[in-house]
Amino acid sequence: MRGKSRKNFFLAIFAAVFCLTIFITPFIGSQNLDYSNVVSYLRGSENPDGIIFFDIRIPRILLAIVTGATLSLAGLIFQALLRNPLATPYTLGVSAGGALGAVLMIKLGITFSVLGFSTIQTAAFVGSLLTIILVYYLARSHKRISVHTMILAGITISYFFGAVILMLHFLADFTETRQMIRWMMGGLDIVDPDLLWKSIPVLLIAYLILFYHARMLNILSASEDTAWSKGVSVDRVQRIAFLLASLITGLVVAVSGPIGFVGLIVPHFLRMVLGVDHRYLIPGSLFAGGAFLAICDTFARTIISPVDIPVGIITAILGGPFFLWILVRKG
Amino acid sequence: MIEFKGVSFAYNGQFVLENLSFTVEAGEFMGIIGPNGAGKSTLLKLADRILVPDIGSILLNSKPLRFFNRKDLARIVGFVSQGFASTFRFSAFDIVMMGRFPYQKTLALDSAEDREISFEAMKATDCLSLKDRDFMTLSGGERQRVILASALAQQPKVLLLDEPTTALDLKHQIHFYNILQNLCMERKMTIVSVTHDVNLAAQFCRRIMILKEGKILADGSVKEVIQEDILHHVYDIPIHIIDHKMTGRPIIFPVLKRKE
Repeated sequence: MRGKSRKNFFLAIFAAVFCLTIFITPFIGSQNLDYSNVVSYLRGSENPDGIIFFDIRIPRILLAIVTGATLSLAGLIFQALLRNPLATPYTLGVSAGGALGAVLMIKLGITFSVLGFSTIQTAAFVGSLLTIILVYYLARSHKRISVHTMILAGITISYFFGAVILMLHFLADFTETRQMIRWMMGGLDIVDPDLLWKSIPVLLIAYLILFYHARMLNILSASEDTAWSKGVSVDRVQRIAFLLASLITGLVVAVSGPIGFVGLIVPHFLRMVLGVDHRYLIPGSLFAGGAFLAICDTFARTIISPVDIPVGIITAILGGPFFLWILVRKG
Repeated sequence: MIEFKGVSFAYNGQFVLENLSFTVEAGEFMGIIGPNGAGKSTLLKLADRILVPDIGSILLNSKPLRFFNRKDLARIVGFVSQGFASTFRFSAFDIVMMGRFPYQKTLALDSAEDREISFEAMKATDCLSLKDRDFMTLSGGERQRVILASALAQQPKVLLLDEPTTALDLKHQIHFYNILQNLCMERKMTIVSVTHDVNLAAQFCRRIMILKEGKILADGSVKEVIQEDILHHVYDIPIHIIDHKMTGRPIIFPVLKRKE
């Protein structure tokens, strides 16, 4: 029982930090805002302060929260399914596929728009999904998935796509190269709020479905044969969880590019604090992942303002030492 | 209770089990022995539908296994693996509690009854004192008892065990088989245990089946099956058998040719 109240306590803390982050971060930025203007914007008076607050900062913070929560959840799910604490949302090549799609579109210079997604975003999303489908089918034999083959196939494909991307870089001109590199750094700066509103329901549904499978993921993350024998329909859970986690990763990669590190350290951190139960870890990933990326992004926006640093750089610079500190302290 | 009807299974086009037919009656204590690669573990996994046969069918209580809902199956059949290494830090109690999964509603919390049954299962296998320990820090024998408790928490009618005592020392091997014997005699559980230890099987089991290269070589009472010529044929080495002075059961020795 002590373990359980401890978990509830930490989950409550994460939720509190999450809420505080939502309320505080919009008030931090490179511009000093006059908040009487911000309030009057709500009453219908157009002014720059209100636009910055409501149309730039808040969507961006929401995007950071959604992205951080999604990548943390996806990392959590991949670690459980692959029974490997080093797995990330990108281990199976989802981001490499996305990057290849994006870089290819930059090189080809094609422009169109699907459901509000730009060419590059669409290509990144399609690239991510095709990659995961490929990896999934490569790892299937005898009506079962080999997790081992899956990891190997994912990593091999990542390297292969990496080489193709380098090739495209080599063939690209200066402007294209700059655009490619900027995309691959990831960032939350170019946000079309409409796209954000469309993505949120998809992600929420994914969260709910995965939460519904939490107990099954617990058993599956211990051992596959055990899961079968305890009555878990392993094949179905694997299929649903792999596809959902990949889908949401693909979506986030398409919108924000491959932001690194969140999907590795947040799940890790959560397991240290909350243990092995996904009924706690999944809500935890929403709170901790969302708050973590929103905080990192606040640093990215302000640390050398008005320059906007790609947030992926901050997640690693901030998250890396913090995570090492936890590791050492724990040992 | 369990019936195999012409079951064949292949890995990558190579048959591991070929045309197996046999029946396990309720309440039996059955040992399955045989050399490495005979298909023993595969057979057990088929019986719990962890694997699905390529040809033939398997019946449980006269109903084809494939018609069982996964959770219903887990309420009847418990599976004890050789042990597993978990990446994540489950406590012993977490592992045992997994046995309650087939009885739980997906989103419900663990009930007091679930907890009570898990405690009882841990008492039955003498591991209650380990409940808060990290599963991976337990010794081989402790881990096996926890895994057995997890299977018992399923309240099964049948226990399938895959080399459950391979990693255990002598004392724990005997201890483990004593627990199994109690379960068979007192709770009328049907027990099927795959083992490499012919002597252990001969002491505890009532029926022994020998598998070699995916086929049944012998199947019957201990006295019928544990015979020098049969075992010689199975293991390709000469075997000598004497009777245990106290139990009257056979004990086997490989015939050693010493260099003087």
